[in-house]
Amino acid sequence: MRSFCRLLAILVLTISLAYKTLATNVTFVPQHWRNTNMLRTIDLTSSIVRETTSVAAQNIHNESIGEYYFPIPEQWDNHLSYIEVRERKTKQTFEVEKVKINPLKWVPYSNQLSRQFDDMFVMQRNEKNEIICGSSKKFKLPLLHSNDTTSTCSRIRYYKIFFNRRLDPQEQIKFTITTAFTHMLIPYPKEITQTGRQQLLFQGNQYGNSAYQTDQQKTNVKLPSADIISYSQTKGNVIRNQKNLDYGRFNETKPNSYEELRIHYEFQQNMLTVTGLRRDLEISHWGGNLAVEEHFNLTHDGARLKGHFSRLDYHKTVYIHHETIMTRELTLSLPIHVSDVYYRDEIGNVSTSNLRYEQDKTIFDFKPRYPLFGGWNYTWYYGYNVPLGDFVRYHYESGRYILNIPFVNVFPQAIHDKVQVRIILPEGASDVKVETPFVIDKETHGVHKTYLDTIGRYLIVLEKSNVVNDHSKNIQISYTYSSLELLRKPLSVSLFLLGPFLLSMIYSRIEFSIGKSKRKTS
Amino acid sequence: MVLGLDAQNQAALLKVVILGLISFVAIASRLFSIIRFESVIHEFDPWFNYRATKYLVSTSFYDFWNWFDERSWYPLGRVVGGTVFPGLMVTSATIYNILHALNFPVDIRNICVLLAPAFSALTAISAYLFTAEIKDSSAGLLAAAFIGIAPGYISRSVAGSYDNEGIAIFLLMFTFYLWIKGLKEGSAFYGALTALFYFYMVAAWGGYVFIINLIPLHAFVLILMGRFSSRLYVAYSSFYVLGTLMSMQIPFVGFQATRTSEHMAAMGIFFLLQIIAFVELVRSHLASKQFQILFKSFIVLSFIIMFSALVLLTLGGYIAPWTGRFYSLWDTGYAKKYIPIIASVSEHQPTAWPSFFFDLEMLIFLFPAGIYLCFRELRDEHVFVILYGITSSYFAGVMVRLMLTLTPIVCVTAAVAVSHILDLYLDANSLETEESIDKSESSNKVKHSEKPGTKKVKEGGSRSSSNQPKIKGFDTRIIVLLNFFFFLVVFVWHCTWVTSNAYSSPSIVLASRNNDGTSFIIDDFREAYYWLRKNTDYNSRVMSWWDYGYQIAGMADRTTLVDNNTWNNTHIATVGKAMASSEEVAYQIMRRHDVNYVLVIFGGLLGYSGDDINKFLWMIRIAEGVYPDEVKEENYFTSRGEYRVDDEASPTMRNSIMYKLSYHNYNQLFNGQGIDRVRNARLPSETIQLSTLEEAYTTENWIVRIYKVKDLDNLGRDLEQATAFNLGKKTRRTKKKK
Repeated sequence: MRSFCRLLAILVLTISLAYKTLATNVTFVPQHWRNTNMLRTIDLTSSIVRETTSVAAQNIHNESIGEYYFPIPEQWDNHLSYIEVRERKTKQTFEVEKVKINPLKWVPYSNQLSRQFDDMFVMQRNEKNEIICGSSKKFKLPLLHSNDTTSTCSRIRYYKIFFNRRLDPQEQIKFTITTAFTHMLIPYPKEITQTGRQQLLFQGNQYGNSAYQTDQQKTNVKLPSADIISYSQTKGNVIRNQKNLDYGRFNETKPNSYEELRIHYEFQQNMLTVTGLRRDLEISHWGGNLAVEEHFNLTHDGARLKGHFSRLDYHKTVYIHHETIMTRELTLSLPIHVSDVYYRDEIGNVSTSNLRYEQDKTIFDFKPRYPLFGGWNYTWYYGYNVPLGDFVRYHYESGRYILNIPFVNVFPQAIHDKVQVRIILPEGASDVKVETPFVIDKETHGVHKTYLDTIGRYLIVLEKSNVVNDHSKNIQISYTYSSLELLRKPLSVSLFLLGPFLLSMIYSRIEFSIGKSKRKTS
Repeated sequence: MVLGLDAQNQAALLKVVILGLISFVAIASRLFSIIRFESVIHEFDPWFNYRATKYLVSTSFYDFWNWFDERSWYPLGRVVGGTVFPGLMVTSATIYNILHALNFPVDIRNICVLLAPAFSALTAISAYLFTAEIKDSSAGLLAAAFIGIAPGYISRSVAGSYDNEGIAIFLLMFTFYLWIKGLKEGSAFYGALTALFYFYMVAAWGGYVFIINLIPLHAFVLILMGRFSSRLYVAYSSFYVLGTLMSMQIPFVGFQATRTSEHMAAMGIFFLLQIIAFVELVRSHLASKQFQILFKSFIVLSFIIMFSALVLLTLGGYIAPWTGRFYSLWDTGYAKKYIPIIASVSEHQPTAWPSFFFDLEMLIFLFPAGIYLCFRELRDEHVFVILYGITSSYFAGVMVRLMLTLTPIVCVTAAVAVSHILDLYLDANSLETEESIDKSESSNKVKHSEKPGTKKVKEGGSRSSSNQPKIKGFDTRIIVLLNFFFFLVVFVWHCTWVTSNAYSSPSIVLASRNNDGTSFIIDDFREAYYWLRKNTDYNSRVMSWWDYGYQIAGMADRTTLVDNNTWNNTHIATVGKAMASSEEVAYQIMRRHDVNYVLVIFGGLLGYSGDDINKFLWMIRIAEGVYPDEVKEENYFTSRGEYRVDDEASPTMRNSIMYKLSYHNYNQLFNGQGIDRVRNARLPSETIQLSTLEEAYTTENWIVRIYKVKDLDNLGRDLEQATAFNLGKKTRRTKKKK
């Protein structure tokens, strides 16, 4: 059954339906479900677009099923950072898997399949191996290249949700799909003056993403402020209520329906993008210490600064600095027991930082060397020590140490394009296992050598792109570390210190001069 | 018996422990800036050394040798490999590579920052060795302690001051020690070692010329004193031949070692020694009368031949005459007249007399005493100390910077003097009265008193007193000792104070205090440089006065037009001319040099006096030297000959882009007339309009101001017209509204 579904799904993707023109067409996901109700919330209050879809689905198949397909158009899928599905009642999470497709297996245009569905969008590769697409009826000349897929040549990616049980025919299930998208919002206008107000443009779909027929659905858009410049009002079924826009209710919507949703609104917040983040965690059992160092490359991705920066205007507009599109100060929360915090960049220490101790955390406020306006970059790194006991536990039954630490410690509102977490285990750690609550792009194991190491330390590098706040969940790394290994360091240190003495002992006993020795032996 | 060691080993152990402590103190007292600020490279030149070291570490030695730096002196570039003393960079890179091979992942910046303090410990040890050769090891320990904390040396070797001098003073002292040792023992081995360290010195610092002139001078004086010996012959010949050959391996020196006047004295002495050695050989085979005639005629003839050869070769262009920098050593006014670029550097100014006391405190008073004591003994090495003392005190008087070469010898002679006094007054064995000490001191046998074996002689000299009935009472020697103890304490206190207050500021970071007494750091330079580094195109060209060239290259990582290397006077003058000219003229120059950004330092808001308006006169003077028709110094003064920036400033001054860039938008900050806190002047009330440049960034305290050079106008107007048009439209509109 599952393989059959997969086959069908692949079939669908091979023909690559463009949902825009396909609104009236059949889809190729097996129509085993019907959404009886769907409520969708688009949260635009931060620079990360968070979309929550609550679905009540009914099995209309004659067999019991355990999977559900959730479509995301490709141009959105590239921006997808986070997806999580939970059952409404039990709050249990369901496993989600992206349906893999192999683009090289796309059926050529001349294939029977594409003839079969005459009036639809097809894609194929031309002689130069470029993807071209167009209406299958009119398809004579290559129309568009793959880069232009956003508008006319969209494809859909499917996520397969595995329920934790099989649902009988006619049985209903209610679940919530939480997604987060990055880089979806475009500043419009692209440039603003130093004290100008920032406006963003959001483009999306009025209907919720669904591969199945939907009986009833509503879309609710949450905005950061009531200053909405314009919004789509195609069918007149929009209710505007202060910071909210309600679209719908829509009845009887077909699978993959599309109606443009375009909102132009004011957004007086900074849009920060961390283009690169490297997090180094170094464990020392001798020092009972976990050393953390994080390197940030930050870009202010909001509307760019028009012209140049004027210090005079900056001084004169102090009273509206809080609502100016610029980053003067950044805040991160660190673990409670931090010590030796430092904050530096490529050319040295930055003196503008401050630590505040709160009940269960430490707040680290720091200022970049210069205020960041739209389009400006800044890089820095900071580090601190925390007692090892706060993060590493010894598990007596298995005899293993377990490091339990958040994958990242990020700015809540920022987008993190690339994250690299490097975990350096003590010398002699072995049998290392890594567990993460989400999929990691790349995991590598290696060796790291530092001060007076003999065989080197165990190094784990985890890489993931497109990270948001939701990823700051704990990862677990377990390893064995025998207490005999603790002797390794003192031994190597004492050997190193003994070395010069041994050398000088040997040196003083060797006679270098030619001929008779003048030195008196006392 | 302590620790089961005999007296000799105890003394050795004590020496090692004391030297270890002195090294520790020498390093520790240089760390003020790290503790106050951070581990950062200081000032200007060290930034280039640091950048070159990073390049060397990231590439290979051959790449460094062939490094053509296209990111400085745009569009000329700079051949770094051939114009740099590589000793410093190679030293740090070697340390870096060794540490990394041993799995010590030390940052190259920290090695560079701590290199000078580490070498100061080595300097202290070599000062010990040197002085131990001059007098004895107790004087050596004193000398090591003095040089460890003497401000004159600390000024160039605090942590972060990553400059050639940091390692050069160690090399200087160690080379001299080896020379003395070689001369004493007549050893070719030590002569070769001297040459080896001389080579290291050549690789490290331009001041090697001092060695290559002082050692020949020493040899020459010894010959004149009739002290020619085979020891001198062996030591000097092995040193000169090997040293010269090795020094020619440094591309920056190359054939200068045989072709410039600075090196001629050494060569002349070398030939003279050969002649004398030959003459000595002949004398041992001839009768004295014949020999006298032969000798005289030979000497006169060879001198005439050598001198005329020198003159002819110089005239023929085979030997380069003295360079301007050396002329400025003889005539302090020379540089000001002919090479303003040298005179514009504050460290090339003649030394003011208080700075001798400031940098050396009581040592400067003990210095003549030490020299006097050397005269009393006058062995070969004492002649060397005297010559070193005399020459370096002359040079230190000519240039502030050369205070550095004076410091070691002052420390050595002062140590000789102090140790002499202590020897005399701390002798626990003799319980003599004050009178007898006076007697023994006047009996010219003092020099023997320091040797433990010759105590009998001294007792013999004061026999008269020992015959008298001994009265055990107040030992008056304690007065002198307490006095000297007090001096030494004050010396340490002074050194610490000077180090902490005068020499431990990185100068790229300024410290200030808040009203509540907490310290507050003004970091405008790095703010601007980091802004440039992160928010401008990597290939942008930044025009600034040459002082900031190395810093821009190092911290902002952008291409500069001129920098602290100052090898091309014309290029610097061109930048000076651009800064001193009106916008149209400057725009032409800037377009021709593909300038994207102009950086000026302005201290008016904060009262930072080292800013560009204060340096402006030097820019004008240097520009005038090359473009005398276009830039004239007197045009920048008021009719009464004053240098002003307020209402009375001359029109040329007010039209120069330096003036405009410094004060652009400044009046508006004060809602009217701006006040320049450096020059205590009230600015003209008119607003400054820029048409060819626009403000790109200004730091928090306005110290660094960066301007962007506008592109050509889209409509083909000149930029002044375009700006006027834009402004005109605006004013017309407002008029209409009214």
